[in-house]
Amino acid sequence: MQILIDTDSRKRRKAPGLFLLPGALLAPTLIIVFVVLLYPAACTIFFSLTDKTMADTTYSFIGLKNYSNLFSDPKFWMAFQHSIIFTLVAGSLNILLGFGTALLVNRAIPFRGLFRSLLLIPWVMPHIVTGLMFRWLYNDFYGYLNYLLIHAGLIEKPILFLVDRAFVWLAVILPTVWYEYPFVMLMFLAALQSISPDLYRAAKVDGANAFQQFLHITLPCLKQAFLLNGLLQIIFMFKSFNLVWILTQGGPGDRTELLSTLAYRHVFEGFSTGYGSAVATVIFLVLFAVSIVYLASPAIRSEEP
Amino acid sequence: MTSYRRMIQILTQVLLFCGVLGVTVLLLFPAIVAFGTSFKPMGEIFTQTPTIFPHEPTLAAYKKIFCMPEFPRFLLNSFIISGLTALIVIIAALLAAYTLTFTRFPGKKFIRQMILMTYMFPAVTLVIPLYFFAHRLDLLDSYQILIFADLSFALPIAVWLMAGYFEKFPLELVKAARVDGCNPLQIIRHIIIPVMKPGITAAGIFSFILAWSEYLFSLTLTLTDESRTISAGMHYCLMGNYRTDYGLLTAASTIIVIPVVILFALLQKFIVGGLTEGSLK
Repeated sequence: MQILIDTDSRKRRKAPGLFLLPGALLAPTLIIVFVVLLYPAACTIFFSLTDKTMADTTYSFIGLKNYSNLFSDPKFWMAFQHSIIFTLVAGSLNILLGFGTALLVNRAIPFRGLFRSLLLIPWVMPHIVTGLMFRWLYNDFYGYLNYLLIHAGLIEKPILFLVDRAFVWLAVILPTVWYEYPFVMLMFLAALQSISPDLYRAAKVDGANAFQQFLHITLPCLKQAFLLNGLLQIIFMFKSFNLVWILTQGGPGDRTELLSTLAYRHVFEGFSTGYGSAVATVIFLVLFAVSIVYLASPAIRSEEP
Repeated sequence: MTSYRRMIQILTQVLLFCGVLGVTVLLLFPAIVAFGTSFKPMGEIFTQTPTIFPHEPTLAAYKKIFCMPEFPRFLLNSFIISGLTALIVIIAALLAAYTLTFTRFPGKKFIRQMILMTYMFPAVTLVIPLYFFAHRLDLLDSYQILIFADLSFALPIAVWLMAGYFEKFPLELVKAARVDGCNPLQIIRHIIIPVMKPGITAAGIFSFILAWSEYLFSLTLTLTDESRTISAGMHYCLMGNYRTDYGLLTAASTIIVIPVVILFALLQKFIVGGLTEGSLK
């Protein structure tokens, strides 16, 4: 009887603690997340329902008018299309290059640590450095790229990479992949190292060759990593802004206009905050949907403890 | 037979090594060229037959940068903003990751997922209201607003990373400490931090690098050179008055990138290690 009462009272004493303590420890993070993420995102959605401009402090609620204007604007659909193509192409290339380099530097080779560090350099470089550096490499007179291409006999006249409509996408995607692949590589390296060496040993005993080991051990064990990298790349590439803005600002004309540059242009250059907010909300909603699909998929659920 | 097999093995190793070397040099070519060019005199930069390394190395471009009034200011601003961001991130993320890993409470899974989800918030979506808040609160062109804005991407990823590291930590140790009457802060200080230092450091460095590289917020939320970080500073200098000064561009890039690369190289082992296993060995 005594014991029963004791456990009861302990339970009662513990119960509020179980709520209070997590609350107190999570408070800084939750407050920050609310103030810098949730509230601003909600504000952007709200702005998208108003006729707010950059200058006016007074604005009125206009419902979905910005969206109906948006959906009948061919520029919006073009930017949408550009964003999707850019996401698929750059994202796939990032995963391919990231996975390839991870496999390479996961092997036992001399100076492996050094190579890993070196391959991560593009990722630690600020985007402004990457962007300005590639602008210079693309230069028609003093750029290395044109020099190399001409000397290799591939072209006769220098290509104006950032002006030529045929090449400008390549010129934007190249540095994007250059800065993003190390992140993918890092994620894959982590996943590769978490594969138990026993699996490979057992496979060797069973007489599996390197390719079979790759196919039947490495790839299945990396399924989770591929899913996660895939999701992250869709998110990063679909919302990416910096490199395109530094390199082309969406140009020439609107050849490389993405949803993100379109939103920025409307808010900070065109001064139509409401309309730009609607574009930004569309980016947000697309990524929200992608994330929901991913979180609802069984693959991630098996990962949750 | 064995010596033949050994030969094949060595040959594979050599080929693999050359492959890795080749890929690395190819991928780093832009950075190598930029680094080399930063030491070139004007005449060698503006030539139709560029070389990778300078014939007559000079520090002229570096001298010019430090004689510009703006550039040291940008560096200082970036350093303060990134450092404070990383500091806030480490403290908040440590508490949050501890809670999300070692305690049980209703809604935990929801909060974990919410923090993961915030990673998809586009900076363009956030910067619009942040600009108007800053404008209203007279915080435009201040360190505070930039640190605040940087937390939006640095904090969730740090919480996520740290919670990942902490999962590798034996729950029994935490339970034992609780039975001994330790409060969470004591557990974090005396048990978690000593063991998980590499993971925590890696998350902090990650935040620092993200804030150091940040571009859009700095571009939008600053008005003068007073609080402008290097990214926005370089944007205004090198897309404006110094547009074609490639010596200046490459030298500035080198100055910005080298410290981060060294820092990162020193901690790289812990970052990759921290991602895999919480160092409990």
